[in-house]
Amino acid sequence: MASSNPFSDPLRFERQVRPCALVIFGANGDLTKRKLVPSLYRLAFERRLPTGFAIVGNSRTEMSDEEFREKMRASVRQFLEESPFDEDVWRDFSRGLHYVSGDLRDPGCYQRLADKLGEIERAQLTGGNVLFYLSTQPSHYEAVVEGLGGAGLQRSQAGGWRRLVVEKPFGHDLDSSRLLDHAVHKVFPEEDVYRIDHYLGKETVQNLLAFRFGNGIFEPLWNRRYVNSVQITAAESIGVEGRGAYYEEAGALRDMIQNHMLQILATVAMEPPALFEAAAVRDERAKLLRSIHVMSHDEVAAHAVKGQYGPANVGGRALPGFRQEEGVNPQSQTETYAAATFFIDNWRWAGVPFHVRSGKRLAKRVTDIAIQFNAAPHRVFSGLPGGAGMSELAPNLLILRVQPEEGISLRFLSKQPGSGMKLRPVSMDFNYGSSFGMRSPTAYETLLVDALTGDATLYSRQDMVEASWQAVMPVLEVWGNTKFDFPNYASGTWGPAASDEMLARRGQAWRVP
Amino acid sequence: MAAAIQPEKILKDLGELWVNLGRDAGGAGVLRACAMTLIVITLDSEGDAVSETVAKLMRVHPSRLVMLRVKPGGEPLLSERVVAQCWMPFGGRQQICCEQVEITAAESVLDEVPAVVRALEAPDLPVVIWTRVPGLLHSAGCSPLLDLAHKVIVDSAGWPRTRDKVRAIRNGLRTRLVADLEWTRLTRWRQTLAQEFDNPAYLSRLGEIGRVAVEYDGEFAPLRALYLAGWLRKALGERVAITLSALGQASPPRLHSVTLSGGAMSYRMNVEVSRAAEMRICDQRSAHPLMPTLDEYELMREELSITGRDPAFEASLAFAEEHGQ
Repeated sequence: MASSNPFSDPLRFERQVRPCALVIFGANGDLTKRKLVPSLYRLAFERRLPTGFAIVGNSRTEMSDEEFREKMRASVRQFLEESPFDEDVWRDFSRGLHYVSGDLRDPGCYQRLADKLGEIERAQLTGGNVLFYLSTQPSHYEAVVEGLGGAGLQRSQAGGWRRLVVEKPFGHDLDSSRLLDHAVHKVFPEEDVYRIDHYLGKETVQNLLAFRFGNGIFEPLWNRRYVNSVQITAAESIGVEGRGAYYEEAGALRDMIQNHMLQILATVAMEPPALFEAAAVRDERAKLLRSIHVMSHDEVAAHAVKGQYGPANVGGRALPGFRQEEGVNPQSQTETYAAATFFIDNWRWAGVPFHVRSGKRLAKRVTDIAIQFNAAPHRVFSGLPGGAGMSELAPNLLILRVQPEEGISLRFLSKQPGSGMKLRPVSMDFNYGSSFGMRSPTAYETLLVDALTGDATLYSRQDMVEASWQAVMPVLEVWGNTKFDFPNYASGTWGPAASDEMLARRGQAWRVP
Repeated sequence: MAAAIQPEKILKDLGELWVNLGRDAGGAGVLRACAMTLIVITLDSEGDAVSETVAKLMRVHPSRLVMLRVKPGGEPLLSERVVAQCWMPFGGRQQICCEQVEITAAESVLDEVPAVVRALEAPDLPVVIWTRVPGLLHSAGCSPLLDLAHKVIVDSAGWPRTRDKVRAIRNGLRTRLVADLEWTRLTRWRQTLAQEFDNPAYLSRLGEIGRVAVEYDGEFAPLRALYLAGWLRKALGERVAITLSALGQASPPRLHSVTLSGGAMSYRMNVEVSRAAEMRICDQRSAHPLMPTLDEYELMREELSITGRDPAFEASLAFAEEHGQ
């Protein structure tokens, strides 16, 4: 019997998913409609899913397989990005779509699911391989895991693999994340748990690893000796857009900084792994997260800023403030903007501030990482007209753009043409779209294939989740016990003045991305 | 005597081109993208159609493009022009541009071209030659041109007397990478077949396969059929009997189907001229995977992504030389 496929050709074939089933809990929800099923369809379009691939949707709504297929077809047509909709591909793909309705707290629901998976296994020869995807409200996570365990679905009788994908939030603080983890581990071992952080699936974030560890010229500069500070920005121009009730509970610190932005920070600052494989990469990322200096309560006021947007007129349109959004308490203290300065307690980064900010209704939608280098040690041009202070005003910046235009820019000083030595900052750009004009897979396509093929490199591990909760807990605790005078920033700006002041105290300023 | 073209003038024109592009773009400037020098050799009569293909290719594999338009026979002729291929990426602020040099040359003065092209290489980047003119691989005039290349891409579709041509490709492989778009056309077939055997239920029965039949339409076996047979030989080993046979008529010859069989195991993939292939395994299941006919753009897009050696192709090429007519 052959143990590996002799027909495989990794030089030309994309990584293939083996026959398996994917069970989506919360199949009637937004994530399934907007991201999961369109991404899976796209993978089918690119022939990356096997003929024996099946999807089983679950939610409380009664629906037949056919109705579920119709619903998903409408979602794929609506939310498919940069891709054509092909009827033939859809016909093949939709044959594998099934639906099992049921209440997540009802053991009968899991028995029906087990029966359906048995049918699929026999018909599609999936070998018992199943990926369970928790796309429900987080409050249902424990019930689903318990239900799966009760029905014995965490193990395959046929010897196939069983994995569990958990969407964020992984708890709402350190204690609750540990409780959730305890509940999950009662049923699934850690190696079968995939905690998804879709920011890690973005091409630029992955490219950060290639940029840092595939090139010899940057890594020697990647430390406290040459780097002055790092700024990480994730700005949204939109408000909470109908998610007021969820956001009221979460806030920017929990929704963005505790997970996405600290994962990006860890990728920027981690040590080189010995190998590019899941355990090695995740070990280094976890080590870095554990090295983040945990602020004392007294340090929070100087190192973190909380903001909330107010009503405004932007471009002739009246926009509500956060407190006027549906589902939001009119006296809400929830932050729609959070900024924090983190320090990393290790030899490489000691003393280098990592300024992180995220907010809604900011000037524009942009996510980027800016690494600011120290000024030249001796100012040769400071005596020339126009040269004084130029290297301080326009320091060397390496900018890694995550969205909307993925790419890398390096800003440096150059002589202006003409007589005399006048310096001007110029930018050397690498644009992902221009150098690799092909369509980049979406983060969910990347991460779904990873989970289906058992590659956990871009997924979070529980020790990483705990370390990042530890880093933000003092801020959450202090903010929870302080009454803020909200709103404190207008829509369409770059956030509250206090955030600018926080950096100004260090002689620094937020850049305009 | 042909009109002279000077590399210095072309380079100067290129410099002016970038200045003008930057000036026309106002403050935003333009982004110059270049990952290789791509030299495309085509018949002058097909040049306009090829221009459209390479314009699309530039977005995926931005290059300094040197297009050599060959005019068979006639008066000695040598001329050049410099243009830019620019586009605005979706949602972008800055135009992205690649430079294109077009050289038109009569076949009789081809030997004057390599010295010009040598000066036009983008420094420190690989050079890829895509020749759409059969026979240039043997032409004495073009040989110095081929010497510039890290990789040469040909298309053997419809080539008669395959053994000679395959030998030429194999000879080329001694000093540089050579690729054949007929092999590239097989990728989706091969991938579809490989995907079926990703299923452990079928993979475990692979040892039952004892015969492979590759069928084609036409008066001689097209290289694509030979490549497929060679690839299967490498994957399945010497124990498997491989036959190539003609089924129907087609001009130029084309691949028809492949069947793997033995014991109770059988796998058949029947590729129709239309976009779908019919696939059966153990007579239990059938599927109609997408098998669109790929155009030159799609083929080149894949081939330009392969920067190193392709051992599967090399093994198939060796088989093709042994069994070609």
